Amino acid sequence: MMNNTTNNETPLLEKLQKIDRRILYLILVIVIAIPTIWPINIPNAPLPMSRDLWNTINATPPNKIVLLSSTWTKNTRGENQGQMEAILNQLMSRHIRFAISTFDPRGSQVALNLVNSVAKKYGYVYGKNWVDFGYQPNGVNYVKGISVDLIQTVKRDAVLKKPLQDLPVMKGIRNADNIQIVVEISASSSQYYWIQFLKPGVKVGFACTSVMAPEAIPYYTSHQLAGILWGAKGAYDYEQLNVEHHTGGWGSGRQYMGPLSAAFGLVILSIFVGNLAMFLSRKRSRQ
Amino acid sequence: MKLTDRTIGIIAVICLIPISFGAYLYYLRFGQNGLNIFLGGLVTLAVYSTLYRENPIYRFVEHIYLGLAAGYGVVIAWSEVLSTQWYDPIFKQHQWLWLWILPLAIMAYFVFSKKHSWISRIPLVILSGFAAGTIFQGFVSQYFPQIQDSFKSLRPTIYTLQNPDPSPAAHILSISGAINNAIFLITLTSVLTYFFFSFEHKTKAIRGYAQVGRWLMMIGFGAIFGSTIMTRFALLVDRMYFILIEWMHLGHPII
Repeated sequence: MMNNTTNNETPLLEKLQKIDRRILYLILVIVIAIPTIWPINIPNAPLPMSRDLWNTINATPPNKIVLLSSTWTKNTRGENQGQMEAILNQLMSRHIRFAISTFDPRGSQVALNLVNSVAKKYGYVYGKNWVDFGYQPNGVNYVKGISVDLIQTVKRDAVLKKPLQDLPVMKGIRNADNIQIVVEISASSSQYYWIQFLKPGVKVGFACTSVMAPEAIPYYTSHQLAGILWGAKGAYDYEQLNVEHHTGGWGSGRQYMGPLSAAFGLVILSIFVGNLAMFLSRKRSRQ
Repeated sequence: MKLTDRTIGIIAVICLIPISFGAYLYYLRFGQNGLNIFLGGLVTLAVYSTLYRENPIYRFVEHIYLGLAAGYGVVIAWSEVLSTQWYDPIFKQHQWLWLWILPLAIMAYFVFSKKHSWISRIPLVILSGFAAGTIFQGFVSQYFPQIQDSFKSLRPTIYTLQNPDPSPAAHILSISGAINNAIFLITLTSVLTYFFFSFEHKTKAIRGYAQVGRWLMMIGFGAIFGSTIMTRFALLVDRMYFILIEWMHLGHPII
């Protein structure tokens, strides 16, 4: 009797450990598709590092600008776009002047498209309320340069190709002292340019993909970073803070958290089932 | 029945007819943006087809992507770097001193000559000199505050379990924060012990402490791996959103 049960159950345990990866992919697609089509709201509590970034940007005085360094492309749209959109909502609803630049040659157009789409909502005018410094191929020289003289370093804007001092948005802005915070929205390690070479005392924020966040946290605790947005969760945090303070609405951060949580649930379940099957089959083989 | 690459290729070419028709309908209904999304959806599916197995459709799209990226790189190298930072200042604004870079750049190409390859080392040495100075400054700015921050207090400033303001800028240390700092201190010293090779780990205490460091590193790697999974899934969710909502219009888009 015992032997019969073992013989019947062992193949199932082995099968559980050898499920075809294509079946797992199919299950994953279904698990993600359902909450994408019919969104579900996952409760959220913003992290202190997200809140700190929000507070720093929100405290921007009228004589300063915020610099968004948008070093991401469509590859990481799932995380970086939500973060940047939430920050732009806050900046525009609070009428804060800002500039964008990028360390990635492909990032320039992506950032420009996103800012233009959000600017339409708030009536933000290029040259008056915001400006594009364009692609900056030499990160070190750019950061060191704007620390001393922003106008001479960047010289011309990337859209109108006009001298920076001729644009109303740059009124009273000369160097890094006139920047409230630099926010590096990135899918690479470009935050180190700012940490290493920006004039001491100027705040730096970091909106990164989740994979980079654990590496960035030590710089937050040592005050080298004023705040961090941790991937899609960071975007959700920022959207929530915007909604709480009426500085913006919901976006991809909240939209993606449902499917993301469902996918994590599937991974945890798969790990649990796979390990359980492995332990049971080992136990049976020993018997 | 296993389809050969040739059969898959023929089917893909035949499918181009309804696909072109679909693209035209998308263009009529949603304009240029709709056509972009339609093509984006097709390319996304073609890329994901490799999850089933390697196939010519995937390879075709992969080559198109690489070709576009290479072409874009060349254009950007000229339009955003060489033109704006070198050609325009010299030939349009007549800042002739920038010409000194030209011989240095030419010297770099002597690396292809067996006899004169030593010349290519001159620009390399100059660049190394610049880089060494820059890296030194970068190292100090990046790591000195980290070393300073590793001296953490183990004595709480308030005797509550929870911190009312957990932001590092608030400088409030609760009991849980003090425990956290103690864990940090143990992690730092034990991991350093593990990597300290100047003396042999002879005593049981040092060996044990280094082992603790090893385990703590494993926990750290686990957390980093978890974050990696989070990123990959977020990117997948975004692609699924693109296909299901933006391309197929199966749900409401984000407003």
